[in-house]
Amino acid sequence: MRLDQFRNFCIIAHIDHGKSTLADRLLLRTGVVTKREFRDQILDVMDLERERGITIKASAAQLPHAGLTLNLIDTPGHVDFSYEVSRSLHACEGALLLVDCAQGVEAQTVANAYMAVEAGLELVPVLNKIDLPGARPDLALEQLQAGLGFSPDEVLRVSAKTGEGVDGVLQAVVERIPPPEGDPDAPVRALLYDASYDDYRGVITYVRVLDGELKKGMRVRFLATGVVREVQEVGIFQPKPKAVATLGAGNVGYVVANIKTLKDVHIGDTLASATDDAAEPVPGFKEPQPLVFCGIYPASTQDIQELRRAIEKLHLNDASFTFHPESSEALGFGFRCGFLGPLHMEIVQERLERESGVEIIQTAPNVTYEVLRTDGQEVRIERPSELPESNYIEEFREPIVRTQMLMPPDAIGALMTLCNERRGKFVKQEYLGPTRVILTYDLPLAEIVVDFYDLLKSATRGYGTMDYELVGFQASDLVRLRILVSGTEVDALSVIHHREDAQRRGREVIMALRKTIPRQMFDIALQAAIGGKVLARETIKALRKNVTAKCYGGDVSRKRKLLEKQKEGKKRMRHVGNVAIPQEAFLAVLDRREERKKK
Amino acid sequence: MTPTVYVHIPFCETKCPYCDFNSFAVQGRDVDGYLAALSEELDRRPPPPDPPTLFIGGGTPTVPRPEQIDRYLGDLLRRLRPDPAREFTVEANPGSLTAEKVAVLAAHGVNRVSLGAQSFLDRHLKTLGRVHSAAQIEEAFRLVRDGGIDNVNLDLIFAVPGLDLRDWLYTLDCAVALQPEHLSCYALIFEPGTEFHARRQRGLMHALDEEDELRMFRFTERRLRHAGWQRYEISAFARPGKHCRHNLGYWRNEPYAGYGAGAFSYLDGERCGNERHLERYARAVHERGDAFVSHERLEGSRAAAETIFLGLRTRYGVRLDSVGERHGIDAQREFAPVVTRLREQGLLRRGEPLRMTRRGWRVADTVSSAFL
Repeated sequence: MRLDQFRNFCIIAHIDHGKSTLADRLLLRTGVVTKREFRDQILDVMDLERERGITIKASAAQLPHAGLTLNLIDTPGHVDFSYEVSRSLHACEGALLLVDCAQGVEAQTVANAYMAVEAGLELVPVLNKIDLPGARPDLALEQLQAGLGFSPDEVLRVSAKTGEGVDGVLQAVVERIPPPEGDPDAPVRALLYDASYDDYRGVITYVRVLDGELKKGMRVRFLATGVVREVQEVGIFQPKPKAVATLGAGNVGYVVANIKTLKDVHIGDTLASATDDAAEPVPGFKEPQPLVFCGIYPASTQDIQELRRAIEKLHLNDASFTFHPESSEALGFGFRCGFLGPLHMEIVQERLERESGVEIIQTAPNVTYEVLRTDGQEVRIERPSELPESNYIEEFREPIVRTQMLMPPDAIGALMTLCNERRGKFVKQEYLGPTRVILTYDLPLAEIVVDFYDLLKSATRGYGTMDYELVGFQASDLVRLRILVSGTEVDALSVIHHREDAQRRGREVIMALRKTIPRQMFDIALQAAIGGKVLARETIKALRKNVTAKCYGGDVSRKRKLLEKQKEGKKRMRHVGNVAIPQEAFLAVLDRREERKKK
Repeated sequence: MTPTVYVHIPFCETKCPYCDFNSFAVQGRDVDGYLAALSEELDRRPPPPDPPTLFIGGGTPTVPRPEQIDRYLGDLLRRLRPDPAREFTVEANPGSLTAEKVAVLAAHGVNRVSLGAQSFLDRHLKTLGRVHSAAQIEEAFRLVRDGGIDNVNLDLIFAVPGLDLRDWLYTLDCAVALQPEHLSCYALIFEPGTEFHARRQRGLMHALDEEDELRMFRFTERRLRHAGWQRYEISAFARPGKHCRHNLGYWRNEPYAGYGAGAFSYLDGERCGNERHLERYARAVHERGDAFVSHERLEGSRAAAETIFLGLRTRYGVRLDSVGERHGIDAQREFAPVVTRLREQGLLRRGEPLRMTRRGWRVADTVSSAFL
């Protein structure tokens, strides 16, 4: 097939703006699925995705249209997967920029549009949901114009739900998106833009062929990892996988090559012929770097093996999170897990609990830090306990994310206050017409990990959206905030925090602990400290009296059961020295909302 | 071991707002019908003929009319061999006890009366919803003594909202002045299902400050010890030799046969509870021959833990070796870590039998639950 037979495109949109519905509509319109097979959101495969309305794993579909082959590449929808998004974008020549005209342009629309422009993609703006009674196409149009520089006559209008305007979309894909460039006769080169794991076939890699062709039996090399494998099968998506004889330049499809685990493949890697030593990798490859870490422990210590199995299984499907066994004095054995971002963390935890049935305790998340030691060595810190003593630290750096927040103008004040509280640095403020403002701040990632999104939502009465990208590491006055219970540091509660805010945070943690740790037979001292300096302290007074006055014949069973129940609760507690700490204490520390309400 | 016998009379003049026992205001109740069912239960599930102790509790066993009291006591004793030395206790309310009723009790060989005095301050009696006055307690006490019953217990309640240490010491002094053989001093418990509990949940009533309650608990022991009563269980104080043998049976986890609505039996290692509802109780007895609605049998360590939990309530404590022998486990080994820890915390004394320290008494639930 000639290169100009192909059009490779994706749909970029904010969550819930109708990306999957439009994709399904395109599948139906081009006859790839019949009406009978048509159901909502065919491209999203996981329950969890469907519930959250986001797509985690990119997929693809080949659409025959007007004698051409249109490859629709589905991109992950969330900010934490921005690297994966960028790789998917590199597999395309164009993108449909989909905007819900009842909602207007959102933070992710802007962020993804910028990313697509950077990747050299032709953008086709599409207003969706024009059939909705609340639709304001004029406002959305104005925002597209003011914020992204589109002229009104290039904007398409569709209803993905009813199918109205979908033919125009297909026509625009054919006419406006350029065909791929590449050399069908050159040695093979393909961009690995995604991968998934199949229980029977192992790893399935999703590729965009740039030059040459891939076929069964050939030996390929993954340039970044150096791994060489024989291709067992190549195929296309319709949207179910279908084996084909060859996958040529310009096309998109999958490769099965006897790869056992996702750890052996890296998104963004380049496949080339095993014998081609001169093959050039596609630029832009990065090792995925986890930015957010937390400890994950089984709620009952005996569930550790089950938790391990669940994590290993999940990792087969998502190699972008990392895990290492760790042990905590308070929580026993568990795992230190790294994630691409906060949402990724949340998704992994939910899937772990859902798919394994193991109840888990999560420790306070922290971001990755960089420390320049006084001996000139640079180290990455993934947990507070790895931090060198302060006199060995030359410079302490934390990740900074450029955060774009879109909101109605009346929320600006509240958002600015929030960003300032969270050590944000103002970058700029732009209007997308009279009803939308983009506020850009550089914020420490640590400040947005736990609850920033919730706060943004409440400050904007649900209308605000945000997106962010890592801009780098910056030196900051950070300290290790130690939490001590009866003089013993509780590793699972200690956090790295900014010095200025450490006292307030220390107090919050101590108060949360005071509320959740039951009184015991002795006074329990709770302290928050930096080094040896105590910032906050509280005492849980010893239990003074605990005695059932009456216990006769009829009471015996009932009283015994009451005591047994108390005892059962105690068994589930974790011990630090001789202090029993209930699981809720570890969770209470995560939840800063209650403290804020009082303010 | 021969089981003791307990009989439940679930009627009171009024229901006290702190009480979670199976009891009902007598007004409009079919007392005769209940007594007939009780008699039938004694027929169908005969008590042991030689129980070491008898205990009639409630409710208020002295609320029924004299001839009704005479009838149920007669129904019970008819099935037993006479034994004048046997401890035979009946609970009574100072508000409803009369010379005639005391005479009925004495005629049937009742040799111990437990009077629900609760307080010697009228305003506290009112808070507690009692139907009697402080003066009536003294009258009732004399009636019992004059009726020839020489073993008397007074129930008293402390840690009542609105009660301070001086009020409580006054009540104790009044009780001591009467020179009863036995005193039961209970800290008020807000039991679920009671009116007090509901009031506290709604914020209308507040439990006493823990330190105040603790002070009352300590002063009670000191005051009574000086006056000649020894604490032999968390809430029970006795003159020498006058401890309640029936209740000691419970705390030694010994068997008992219970009759009446809501009564419990503990026979051959199985604890069974009777139906609490009066009509359903009567119907069950009539149709099935018993009114059991709950059954529980503990084995091994759990049974042993229960024996320890009960035994630790008393000053005599428990011997681990005999607990082990009784329940067929190596109790010494099994409970060694718990015992060591509790001793280190100063809650258990060293040596055998296992006994709580003075500090252990006030956190007895914590100590007991360590074994469960």
